[in-house]
Amino acid sequence: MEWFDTCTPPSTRAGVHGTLDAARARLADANVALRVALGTEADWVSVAADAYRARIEDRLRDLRRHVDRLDALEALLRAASNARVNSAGA
Amino acid sequence: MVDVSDLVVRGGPGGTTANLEDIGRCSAALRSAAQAVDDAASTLVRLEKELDGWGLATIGATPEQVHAASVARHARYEVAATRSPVLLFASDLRADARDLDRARARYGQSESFASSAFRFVVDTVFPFYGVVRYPEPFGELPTFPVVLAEHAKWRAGQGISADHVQRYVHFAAGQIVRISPEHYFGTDDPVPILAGWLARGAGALSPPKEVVVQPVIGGVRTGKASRGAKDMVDKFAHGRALGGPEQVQVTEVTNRDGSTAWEVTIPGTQDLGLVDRDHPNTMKANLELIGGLPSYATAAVLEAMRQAGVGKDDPVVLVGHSQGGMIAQQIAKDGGFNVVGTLTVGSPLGARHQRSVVPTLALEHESDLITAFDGKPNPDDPLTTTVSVDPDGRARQFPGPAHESAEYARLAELADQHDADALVEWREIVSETFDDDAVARTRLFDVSLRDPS
Repeated sequence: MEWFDTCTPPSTRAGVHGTLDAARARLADANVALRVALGTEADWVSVAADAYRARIEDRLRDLRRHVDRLDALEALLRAASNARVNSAGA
Repeated sequence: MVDVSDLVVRGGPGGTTANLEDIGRCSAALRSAAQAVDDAASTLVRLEKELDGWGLATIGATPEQVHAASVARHARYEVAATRSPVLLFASDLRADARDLDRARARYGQSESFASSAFRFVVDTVFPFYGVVRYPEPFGELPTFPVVLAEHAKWRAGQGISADHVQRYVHFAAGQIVRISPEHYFGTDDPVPILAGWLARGAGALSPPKEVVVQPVIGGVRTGKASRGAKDMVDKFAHGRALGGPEQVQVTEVTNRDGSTAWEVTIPGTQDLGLVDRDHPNTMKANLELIGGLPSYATAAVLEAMRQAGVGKDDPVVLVGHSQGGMIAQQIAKDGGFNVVGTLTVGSPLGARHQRSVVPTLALEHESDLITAFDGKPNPDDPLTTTVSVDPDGRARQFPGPAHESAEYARLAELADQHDADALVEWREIVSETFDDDAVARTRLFDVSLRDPS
């Protein structure tokens, strides 16, 4: 199970990393809400239920892609942060 | 012989209203997801601003500082590139929610259109089953041929449809309540108003009484906890003193974990009198219950529950036949006990104030005219599941047997076998309340009225 499938605790990191964690936490909230939507939809008795289910599942995959992009920012922020620390020490 | 496929299941979880509510909840969840995604995008804007400060290289900066600024600008660019699709994603989710809202509205409208169209066809194209508008003061009344047709059907042994009677009761009550200036423009729920008037009139003619509830000496039997509607309906056969009125039965179930749950079996009308005499379950009580007024009949059941030791937090399932079903609904709403479900058998439950507050399973024979005296069909809401059938045998041909609790045993048995969502959920409530093979101890209570001491 990945971080966005769990309850994410408030970040203890400061600065840009803390801000990135806050954005991740919001996407984790969106993930929970979409899963609620999927669970609710499962109870419908409607010919359109399958189409709506498929659409929500698509949205969950879209969300997953956004999460991956946020994860990719982690390395960039670390590089920026390290370069800043090194330049201050130089 | 009727079987499971003959049952008509309406309302409850899986009913139209419940489905529309599900769609509403799904749409709300999508909006909530969109809001969270929007918040994520706003947080990324904050991140961009933080990186903006890092990306500035001042005059005379060292090569390391220039490099650091360059890395920060690259990171900022990537954050911005991530944020834009996130914003679009939020907007997509909102569009999905709007789609669902529109679908919900369409379903609602088509349901309403279907009902209107059906009423139009029934009322207009087939006047034999309709009404006609007569000059004032008669207004809308069943057509004369309707009455003749119903009579002919009954003579031919086809029975009388409770559905038709319900409509006549509705129209008749609607005309009568128009006598009152406050209801001149009519109401879609006239029967409780009329019943309330009649109940108050009967109350004015009745001497004041006191409810007496006494445990029946030797009236304790031990058995197994109910597993479904059939077991519950069967209990009515064991709650009658020889030659006397039916009694209230309070069954204490001790579950495996030592917890206690209760089943209360409430009989129907025992005295057809319009004034109070010796028994609280009178016709006057019927009028009071349909009119949403307090009744001695309800007070008697509450007293029996207290005497049996039902705790305020103990889970209770109420089972009522006819008037007993209306009492069960009133206790579930205002009785102060932890009612987890009710089963009503041949009870009129359509009045607005009788709306279920706990999961309710209503069993109705299509030929049981007593269920028609509310003048409205039972609501299709997530808490109320109505299971009806056109019975066979005596219950089909004669209104009397159609209302007997013993005749409802077959319908209860079929409801226990049906796999509709609403019925599965109701059975789950029963199995969560009463353990399999838990020991059940039933006490009988005599209820009566006496002059105040």
